[in-house]
Amino acid sequence: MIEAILAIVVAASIYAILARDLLHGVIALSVTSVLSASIFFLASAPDVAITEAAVGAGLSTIIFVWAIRNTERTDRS
Amino acid sequence: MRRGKLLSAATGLAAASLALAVLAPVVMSDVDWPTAARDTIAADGYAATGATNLVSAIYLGYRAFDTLGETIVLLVALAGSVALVASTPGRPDLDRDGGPADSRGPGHTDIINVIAGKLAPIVLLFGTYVMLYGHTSPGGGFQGGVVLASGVIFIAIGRRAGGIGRISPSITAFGPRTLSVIEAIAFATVLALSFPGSGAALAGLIEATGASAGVAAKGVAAVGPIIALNIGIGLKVGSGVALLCVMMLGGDQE
Repeated sequence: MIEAILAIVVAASIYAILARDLLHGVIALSVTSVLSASIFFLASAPDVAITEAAVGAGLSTIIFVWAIRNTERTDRS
Repeated sequence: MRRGKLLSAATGLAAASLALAVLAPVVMSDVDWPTAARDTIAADGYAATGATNLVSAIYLGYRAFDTLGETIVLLVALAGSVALVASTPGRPDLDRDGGPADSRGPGHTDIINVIAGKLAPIVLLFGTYVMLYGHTSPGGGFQGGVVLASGVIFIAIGRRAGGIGRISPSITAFGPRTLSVIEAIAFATVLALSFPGSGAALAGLIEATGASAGVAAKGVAAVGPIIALNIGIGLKVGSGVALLCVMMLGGDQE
């Protein structure tokens, strides 16, 4: 179970790095956070799971999306 | 272009091997994990702090000064971000309380309506629960504060799009000014509680009040300082993060 989730986490992280569309990258990052939170929960660390879900999937996504809105959406490099 | 890619690949490889060099000895060594601190806290944590959630017992009981330092780090980070956002042209200033008018904005959809009008109060309630019951159930000030901030952000998003639903306008008055006042008061509370002896004084006060009221507040007195710290940290984190996000959202409407 945990191995399968970890594999998806790695895949989503690689996609977040390589994505040309930055919004897609941010969504992949928040998927990573949600899955990490479920791993923490499965490892019986609910305190860390709540933090990861609230900060990683919630707040940092909002801040990233705001930054993309105010700059530009595609990676030019 | 090619050189840049090569350079970033080399940097990534160097970082990965550095991380491996640090982590591999930890994972591969056959020395036993240190257990002295773990066993002590597992045995005495409840008696020493009164918190059944041992994570709270550690970070607000045994290591409360670490938590104070963390709170200050967060305060500095938030102050820097808020200063950056506020100095960007076209941003609202701190004195303006409240967002744009309640007309239906271009971003108004049913989804926004549901999130802002119906989900936000539930999220605020859940955040309050996580904040208040950190000593017995998973959670605490930091987690509850961030959940509270999400609720305030939902309301701010709804107000931007003009979809507050049936929430009364007084509840949606989470303007930057109100939030910064709440943050200042909460941080002052946390600072006051960190003075030597103030935790014991608070516990004694709760015990005396309970005794005079004829209520045997069993266990509450001992855990009182942890609950108070949770509330202070929760309000401080919640209002600080919400302040940052509300200011960022408020600067967008042209």
